[in-house]
Amino acid sequence: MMKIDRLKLVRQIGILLAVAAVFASFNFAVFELFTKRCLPSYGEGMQAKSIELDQYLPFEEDSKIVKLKSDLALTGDLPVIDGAAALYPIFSAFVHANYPESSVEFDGESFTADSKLQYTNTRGAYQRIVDGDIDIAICAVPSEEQLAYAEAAGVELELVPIGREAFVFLVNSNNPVDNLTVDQIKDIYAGKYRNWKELGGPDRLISPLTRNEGSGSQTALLNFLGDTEIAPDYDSLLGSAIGFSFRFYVEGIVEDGSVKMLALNGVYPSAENVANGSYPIISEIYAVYRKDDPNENVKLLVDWMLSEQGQQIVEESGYCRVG
Amino acid sequence: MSDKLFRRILLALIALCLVGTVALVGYSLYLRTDCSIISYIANESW
Repeated sequence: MMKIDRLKLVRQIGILLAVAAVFASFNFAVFELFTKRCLPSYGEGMQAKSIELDQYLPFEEDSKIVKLKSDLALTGDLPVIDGAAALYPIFSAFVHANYPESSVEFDGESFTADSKLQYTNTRGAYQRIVDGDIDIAICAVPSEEQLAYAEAAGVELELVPIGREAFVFLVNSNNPVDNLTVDQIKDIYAGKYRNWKELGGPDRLISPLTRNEGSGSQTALLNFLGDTEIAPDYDSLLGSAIGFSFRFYVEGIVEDGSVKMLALNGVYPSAENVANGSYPIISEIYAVYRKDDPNENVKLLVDWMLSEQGQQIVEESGYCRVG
Repeated sequence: MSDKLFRRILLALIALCLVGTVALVGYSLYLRTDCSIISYIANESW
């Protein structure tokens, strides 16, 4: 009788442990395959806004921006400037160079409504320039959706190139693949390559990542892919990812050593290779404004961005000059 | 252990595990809403 009871107890405990093990295995898999990947690998401020705004504020002694004082001497109605996260160090430096300190109000997390310096990232900036809330947006090329929004509102946008930057592809730094061709990247997103071993890497599935529509880098990706359609990616959680961004955002702003930029067609996206044009995917940086903006300072300021002082800021901020 | 006690413990264990699983999946979905490409690649398991 005692033996039967003991066997029964062992069986019951075994069942309980088995149930716990099944759940634990499932939860571990969820954590390893998904949760762990999505955990922020950098600060809370950057996670929320794509950049730590307070590290690149104008008029702050310990700010990381380029500090230069302009010869322009704007007076009157100062244009409101907004733009992309990756380009925030540039337009913050433009404000530092040309505006009085009292024109910028930062509440510790965001710029106040009255501040001449704003930050709402690419999507927000393109919408706000069409809506007339800001005067100049410093962004990469607009998406088709953003151009359609302007057209529907009857707004004509002027896009003036003020700098250049490499559009880069990223992989985990442990991925042994260092170089791909432009066609291989297109074929990855088209779904023709599904495993890194086809490209000289390990036997792991490829997870080609994309971003939300209208973000600067997603628009750059779509422009790069052209007619190549992005294939559905059903098994991405199981693979090793490839993603994209802009060179200085990766190298100078986020500085996460766990990712690396890929060389394309054998050319690494260094500042030098962007400047000499050998890197194959260069994106223009634009100063965007409404053609009907009555504020005369808008054109003056954009012209100054193309001057030696403006271009010095672009270059010393980590990007490349135009021309 | 009586069958009644065993069933109670089993149900409590399953309920506890389900709560944990739902919470983890919910947290994962929440993270997914603002997960950056760089974080996603940087946190990859190798």
